[in-house]
Amino acid sequence: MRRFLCLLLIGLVMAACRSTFPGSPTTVRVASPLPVETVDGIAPRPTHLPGSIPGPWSEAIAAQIHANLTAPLPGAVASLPPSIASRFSPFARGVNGLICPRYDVAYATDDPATLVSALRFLLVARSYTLNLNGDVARRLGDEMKYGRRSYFSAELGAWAPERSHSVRADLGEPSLAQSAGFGWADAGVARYLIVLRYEQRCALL
Amino acid sequence: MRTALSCLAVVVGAFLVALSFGVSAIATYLDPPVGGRSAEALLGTTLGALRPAGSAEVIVRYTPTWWQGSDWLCMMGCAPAMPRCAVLERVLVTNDPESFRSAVFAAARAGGWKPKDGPYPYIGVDDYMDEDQIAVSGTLTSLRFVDLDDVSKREYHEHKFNLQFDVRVWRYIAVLDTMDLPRGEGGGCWWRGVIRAM
Repeated sequence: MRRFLCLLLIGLVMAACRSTFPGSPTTVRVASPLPVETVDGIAPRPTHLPGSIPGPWSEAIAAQIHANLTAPLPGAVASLPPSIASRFSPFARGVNGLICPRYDVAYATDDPATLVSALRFLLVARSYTLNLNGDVARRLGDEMKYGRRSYFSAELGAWAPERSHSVRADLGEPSLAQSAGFGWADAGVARYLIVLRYEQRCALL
Repeated sequence: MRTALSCLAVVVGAFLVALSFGVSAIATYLDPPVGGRSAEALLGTTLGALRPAGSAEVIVRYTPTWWQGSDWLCMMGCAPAMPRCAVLERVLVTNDPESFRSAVFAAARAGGWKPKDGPYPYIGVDDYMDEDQIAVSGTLTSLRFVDLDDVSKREYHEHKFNLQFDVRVWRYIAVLDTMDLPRGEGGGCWWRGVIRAM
């Protein structure tokens, strides 16, 4: 009995020593009354669908973002070739959640390394933050060496400066475009297809 | 006689436990094992002072540096004790979250932040990256927006902050959580090494 009490006592003291000091928030300041219309520069209350933060893109807005990114830089040697097709997918509520607006722009080329380099140059010059930077030349070299087909995969990925949207460049053979979901882009006789996808961050909840 | 002694031992044991609580609390109060920047200091950091045009701050909360101990009466297999740095929570109302976010990133860049410095929320939209995090001025600040038209989320945040948001005028709230970083990373958060061993 005595031994049990000793053990109990030791256990309780140990537990007390290991106790938690939870951090509890304290209010530093609170607006009183809550601000209503006394704020300078207040924007009108938007009426977007719930979850579509911020206002979902229209096709015109997305096309303008693409135009701003791909506009030739003064003094730059290389410029992008004309795109062959584009496709806009508006904001929607899918089965598994929200679908953010997307804008795809397709380019056909026989020299994907140069085109991807030009895109990378523009992204960096326009303050995008690269988060995926592939090695096209090495990829194409390996595919040629081992006789593999060029399946679609991302070669570039970037965030807009304020992270309101992302950009991604997928590269692959036109004959595989259908299975990659790019069947809407007809590359003609070109050997490669590059699809630039802009995607808005809509649901930031 | 034996029963009386047992009862006495229990009473003494309980007293000692209470005493250990008291001593521990007093010792912690007099000589806290953790520390960090105050609310005022965090409010003076790059993103602590930010209030983009067209927004209004409704509440500021501060949680001082503290440490998470092991579970009560936990003997085996418990999570180890670990320190938690101070956090300043600011809630602002806005109708233009895109401009708000741009202002946050612009302020962070002006404060010396570069994306390559991290942290790295570099996940695509489809991967449910739902927060922006920026390490600047010795703080790690996260930014998220809540749509007040989503009733369940609005009620959750009204309960959390004990506030009523005026949804007739404002559509979104921006929650800026500014956490102090450890001293080695430019912040003011610190703790004594002994805590880790406990």
